[in-house]
Amino acid sequence: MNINSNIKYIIGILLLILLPFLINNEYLLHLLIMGGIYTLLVSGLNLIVGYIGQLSLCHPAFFGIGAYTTGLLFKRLSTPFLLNFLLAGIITAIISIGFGYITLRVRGSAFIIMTVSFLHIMHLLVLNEVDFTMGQKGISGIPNINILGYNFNTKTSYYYLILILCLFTLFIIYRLVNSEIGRAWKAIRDNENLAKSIGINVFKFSNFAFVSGAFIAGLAGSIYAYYINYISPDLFLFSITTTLLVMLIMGGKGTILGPVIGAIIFTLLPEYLRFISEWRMPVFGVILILGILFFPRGLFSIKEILSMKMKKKEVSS
Amino acid sequence: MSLLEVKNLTKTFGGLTAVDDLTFNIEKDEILSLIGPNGAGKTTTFNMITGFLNPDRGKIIFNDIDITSKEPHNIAELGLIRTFQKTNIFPDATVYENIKLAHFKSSKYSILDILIRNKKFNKTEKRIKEKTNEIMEYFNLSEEKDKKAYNLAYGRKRILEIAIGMAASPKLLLLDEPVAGLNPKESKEVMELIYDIRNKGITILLVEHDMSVVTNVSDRIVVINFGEKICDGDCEYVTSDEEVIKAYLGDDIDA
Ligand SMILES: Nc1ncnc2c1ncn2[C@@H]1O[C@H](COP(=O)(O)OP(=O)(O)O)[C@@H](O)[C@H]1O
Ligand SMILES: [Mg+2]
Repeated sequence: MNINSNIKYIIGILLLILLPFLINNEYLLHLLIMGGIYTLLVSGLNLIVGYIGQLSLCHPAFFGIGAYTTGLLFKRLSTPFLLNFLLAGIITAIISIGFGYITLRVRGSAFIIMTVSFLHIMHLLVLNEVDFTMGQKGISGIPNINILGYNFNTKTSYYYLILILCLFTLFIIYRLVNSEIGRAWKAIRDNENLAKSIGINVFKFSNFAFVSGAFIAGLAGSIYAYYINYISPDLFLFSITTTLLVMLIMGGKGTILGPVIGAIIFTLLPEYLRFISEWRMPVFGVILILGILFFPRGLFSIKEILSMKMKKKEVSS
Repeated sequence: MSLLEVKNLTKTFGGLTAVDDLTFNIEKDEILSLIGPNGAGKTTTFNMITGFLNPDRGKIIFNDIDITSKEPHNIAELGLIRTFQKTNIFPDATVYENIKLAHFKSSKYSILDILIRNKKFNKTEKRIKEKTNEIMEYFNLSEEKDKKAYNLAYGRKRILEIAIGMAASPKLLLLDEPVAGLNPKESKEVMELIYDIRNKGITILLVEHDMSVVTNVSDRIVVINFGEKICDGDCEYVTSDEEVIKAYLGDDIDA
């Protein structure tokens, strides 16, 4: 990273810090908070889909497990936020270790089917274990976050909390990806057999990506439960998988900022299409198809495509 | 003590015995060629030595360590590095990234090293960069540094494959038909490279179906046919062996 791009990032972060004062719009602030939660989810999913190249369809399950861990801990034990938050991440990670240990031995369609089954099983469990999870009714009355006496009772306070969490997560992912761990992930994605033959423990590194993604999703689920104050089995719906994949693929998988761009745009876009009422979803669909057609490697690749076109022009002129 | 000892190795697929009670040794610093017609069981032997296949019977000992049925990455960790008969590179990475990725074994960090980027991390990363450049230089790949590997010409891909193997710090480099599909000029270049690599102190096991390719560089040749060893000795000895001529060279003369 040179000084120039450092300055770009600093300006970007300053803008994000000033944003609540600039927009002064509660609804937009709410969408940005949701965009931040999606950023966490999609960035974690990106480690699995984008870096080790395994199409996991169960990511919402880890979000839901984090949210339910938080909700149930509050309901049954009234434990404080920081403990609930950490336990949400840790319990989600432990479950994902167990699940990954079984499934990450296979690739391709077998893995995809196992992940989608896992999501459905978790959905049914939460729905049917009414005594434990409250079933379809969900868990309501989860209070706002309280850290050492400071109460998060404004959208702005949640915005900053999410912003810090996102920046921190992205920083860690950036460092992981640009190290031997990231190189091992890319090697596995590109050529698994060759990766093995240069000494990479494919199973171990795949598991690490999977668990890291799940851990982040668990944390995001916990924050979500506190922010919305209510959780339900709908968190385990397959439609959330679809949303996450749209964000990931349209944003640009296998890049650090692609998931951020995808998460923000595809949180805002459907909301701002509401003015065309019943045409909303068809128009959204057309935008998606055009997007994939023109940016098959995601919106994050716009810069690359533009610079390539410029080069071509230079060559032809 | 031999660097690698293969003892009574056997593998069957269904009813077919692909490798049959195969025994041979590789001494340190030699180029040993394993040759035999197509389907003789050379690749299967390779796959068993490198842990990609488990043998039905037999033992493989590397540097006094029993590696029979160990995982491929554990075997690579010990310094036994292979290439594949069908070209195997990281297609979506650039030439530079391909070789950098292959230095995996030389970077042993803890998560903490990676997150805070301490002195150890920066020093190792710098060394890997230098080594990557050195290897590109050695294999004459520097000019194509930023090309995506899938864009390389076939002959260059095969060279890149060997470069990847070298980046993984081999003690014993196993090459599965590295010149298959190359024209005579390219083939000669690769054989010279292999000879030079050995002179850097890396032992080589070379698999080839065409005997004439290997006679110039090999210290010793093991010939297999239908999974069985039929001859083992220096080039002169092997090329004059009657059974070899009958079972193997005969084919070539006819062809
Ligand atoms: N995975 C496999 N399943 C079934 N048969 C195989 C398999 N791999 C190799 N064979 C058979 O084993 C024999 C030896 O093959 P191989 O080791 O590839 O020979 P070579 O490398 O000497 O050309 C061949 O008859 C081949 O068809
Ligand atoms: Mg073969």
